[in-house]
Amino acid sequence: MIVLGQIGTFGVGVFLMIAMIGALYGVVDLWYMIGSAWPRVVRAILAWAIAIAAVAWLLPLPYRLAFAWGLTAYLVVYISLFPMLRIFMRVHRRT
Amino acid sequence: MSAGVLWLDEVGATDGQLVGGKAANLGELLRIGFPVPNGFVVSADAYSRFYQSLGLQANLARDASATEIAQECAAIRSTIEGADLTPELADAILSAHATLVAGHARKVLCAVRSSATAEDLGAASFAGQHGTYYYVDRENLLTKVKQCWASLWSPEAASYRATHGIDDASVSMAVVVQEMIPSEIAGVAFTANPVTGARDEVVIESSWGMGAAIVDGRVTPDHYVVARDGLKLRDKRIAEKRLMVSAHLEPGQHARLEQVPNEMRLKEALPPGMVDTIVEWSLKSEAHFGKPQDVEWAVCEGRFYILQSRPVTVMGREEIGAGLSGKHVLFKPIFENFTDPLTPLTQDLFEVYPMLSMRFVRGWLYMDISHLRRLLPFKVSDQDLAERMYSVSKEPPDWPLSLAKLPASLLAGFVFYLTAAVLFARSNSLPDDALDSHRATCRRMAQNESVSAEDTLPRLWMLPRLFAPVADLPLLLNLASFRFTLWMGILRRLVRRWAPEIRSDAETLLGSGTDGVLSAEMGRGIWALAQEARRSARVREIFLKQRPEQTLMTLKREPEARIFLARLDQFLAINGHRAIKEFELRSVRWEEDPSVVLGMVRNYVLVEAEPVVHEKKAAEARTEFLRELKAALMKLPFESALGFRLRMIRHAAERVRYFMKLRENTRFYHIMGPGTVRKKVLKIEAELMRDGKLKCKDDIFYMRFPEIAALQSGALKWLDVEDKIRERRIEHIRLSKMGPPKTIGIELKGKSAAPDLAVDVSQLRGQPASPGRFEGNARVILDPSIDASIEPGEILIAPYTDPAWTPLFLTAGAAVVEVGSYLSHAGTVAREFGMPCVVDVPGATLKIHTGDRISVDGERGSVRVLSGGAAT
Repeated sequence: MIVLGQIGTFGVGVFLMIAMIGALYGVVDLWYMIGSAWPRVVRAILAWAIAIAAVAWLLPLPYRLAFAWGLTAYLVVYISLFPMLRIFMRVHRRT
Repeated sequence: MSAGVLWLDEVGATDGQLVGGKAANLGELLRIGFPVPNGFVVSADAYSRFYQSLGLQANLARDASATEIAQECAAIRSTIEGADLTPELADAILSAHATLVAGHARKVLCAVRSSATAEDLGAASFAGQHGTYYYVDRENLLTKVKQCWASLWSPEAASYRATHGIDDASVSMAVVVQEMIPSEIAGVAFTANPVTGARDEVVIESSWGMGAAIVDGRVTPDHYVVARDGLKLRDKRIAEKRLMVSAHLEPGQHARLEQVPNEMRLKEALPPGMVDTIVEWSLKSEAHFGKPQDVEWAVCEGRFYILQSRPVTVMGREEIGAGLSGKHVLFKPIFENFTDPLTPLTQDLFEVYPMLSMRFVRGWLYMDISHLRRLLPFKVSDQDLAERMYSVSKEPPDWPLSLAKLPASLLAGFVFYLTAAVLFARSNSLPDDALDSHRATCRRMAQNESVSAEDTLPRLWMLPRLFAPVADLPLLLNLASFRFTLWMGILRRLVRRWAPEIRSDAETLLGSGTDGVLSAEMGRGIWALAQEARRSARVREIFLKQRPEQTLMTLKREPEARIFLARLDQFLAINGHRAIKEFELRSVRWEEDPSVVLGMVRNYVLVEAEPVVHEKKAAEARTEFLRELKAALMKLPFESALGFRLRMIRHAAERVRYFMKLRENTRFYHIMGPGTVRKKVLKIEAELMRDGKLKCKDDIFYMRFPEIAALQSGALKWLDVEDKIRERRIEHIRLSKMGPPKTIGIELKGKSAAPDLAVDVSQLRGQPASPGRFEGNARVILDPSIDASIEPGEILIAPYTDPAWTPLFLTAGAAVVEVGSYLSHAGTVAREFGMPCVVDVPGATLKIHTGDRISVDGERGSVRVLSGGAAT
């Protein structure tokens, strides 16, 4: 049962990291109009950061660890997508 | 004559082994009185004796690799071209030539054509593989004869022989030397329709100048369809003929391809009565040879000539993809916007990187659905999946769930989610101008010389940087915007569940009416330009009196046109990257040549009335519908107090509208990619032409990137690619006329892609794409870059549409399109403009003629021809 719960909280961690990265990208995506868009961007970042902090604070320890793993794992997966795509394209480019 | 040279009228149909199939045919026609230009043949025996004298081997090694064969062929060609003819043969050829040209007041040039004996071997067709040379004078004659012989040893011809089991030693090559007819008008005639296969009609294509411009596909010719029975004209379409191959070179002129004078462009090339002459001689040729003929003809000083007559090769759609394994379905998102095959260069651009389950077949993009089927958690056959992809049903399929495939499907879905989820999160609520900086990215990429033309598109489309803004991901965003299908399904279910009695097109109505769809804005921008043009009487007059190609030059000299030109510049600064068939590298962008835009402006300037007020009507219909929906929902428990059902429906409708707009607008930006590549290709083309390595503009689009690189480095020369380019052009035209099969390796149970002309032409069926009913006169437009005139209330009949067609939607009363689906561009824009639209109506442009009175039912997807009008 604990394992199932840990899998679930791992999933929640993945989901919240996706939302957090999406919110952080708001800075880059709306940079061209940041003068007027900053409240919207800051609101999104704060909302997801608070959600992550709240979930981490509310969860008991074994689940908190799984949640942290979910957050970290997705961050690593997401960042590694970029070099992996480049390597794939380089290897498979027609010579 | 002597020494292996014979006059054409000395040979006949039975002399194929002596003079090859082409010469035998021409000789036969000449002997029985056909108006064939005179000439002579250097016999196949002469070639055989010459070849043996060089001590070359008769056969290529069968087990050699392609590279070894290419090297061996190159050595043989080099030996043939470098050797001298025997004095006896050379004298005989030059003496025959002297006789041929004697007695003419003008300088006579000759066509030197290969006539291989293997062309008689059953179904083998060496079309385009053997050399043909035009405008040959006495000085170059012997060289060209040897080059024809050498073309028997091109790697393509050798490979073709090997594939078809033809022994190299069994093939020989005669050469026809014929007087070139300096034609004023030329063309082709087919005694059976080469596209539909119909045997009861003759098809004629004609244009100004020499026939090469038609055969090579450089010009859109005038088109006639004549019924055999009574020689009645069934269809006549006069095209805008922009280019011609001139018969004469003026002093200092080097290129024969030239612009047709403006006053002749839209003029019918054939004089009265000539259609009958062409049909009569073509049918005589068919009667003589006993099978449908493809006749090349020319008219010089009013006299009619037959240049060539050969059997019509009608390649069926089923031959496309023959031998290809797998289950392939035509990739609709590209085909819906562009029905022609892509040119070799564009195709090559997409093939630089692996395309996973996609592949090009003769220039059309297909998807192997067996991979997709394996990933779906349903028990479904390839055939059912293909049927579904072309289905008009909005209902979800009733395929049974497959528990065995479920884990793999879930895993694939999870991996896809991990990959795309951040992009989904980023694109949930973007402002309309979020992608505008992509324009500057493309500009920088166009100027960046360290990125090659073929690497430009992947860099713009597929290789995002970690910290790149969403503006640099237009293609990925376009893919992410397909979430609207999910929201559309939710919307449909909600409406059906809570208001089952409401109209059947509820979700279509709720999902339309969005501001800020850029292709719709573009149409309004052209309307605004027309309004500006009408403000000045002088500018209006220029538009009305001049062709769009001349208009810009005249406007630039006109002081009153300053404001209009400034507005035009503003319009092009936003929309200049657009073009007709914009995925295609060959397509000229509006910023290079705005005459298409000016043509559309002219069309609106001519219109006295306001455009059809569909938008207002659609907005009223939406408001009325929302009132009905609200009333229906209010009858349900708690709705009047909480209103949550209406809120859920409104939210789903808002999401549908947002993602549909995102889909259309991301395309506006990602299509800048091919335009950027085109800029680089044009730069290379200019360099190659300046260095004399390419001879003709536009030819580069019929090459592949490695060939271009080889031309640049000097590894290939013009003569090495000339025939390939010509052959590919001809193939491209043939395929464009034919259209692709929807599937390869799968037999669809439903209707085929082929237009069936035998069925009732008064009632046509298609897919409903935008609701509403409209009755009006039809206007068939095949290419808006040539003809963009449509009057308010006319019904647009088009083979396909892409965003460049959008301005025509503004004045049209309704639209009928041969290809497409609910999600295609035509449907999206028609819904935004609130006009009825039916798509996927095969053969609509053939069955409906301009002027026909028709009614369009955009709810049922039906088109009815009420009465025939005057065909153009």
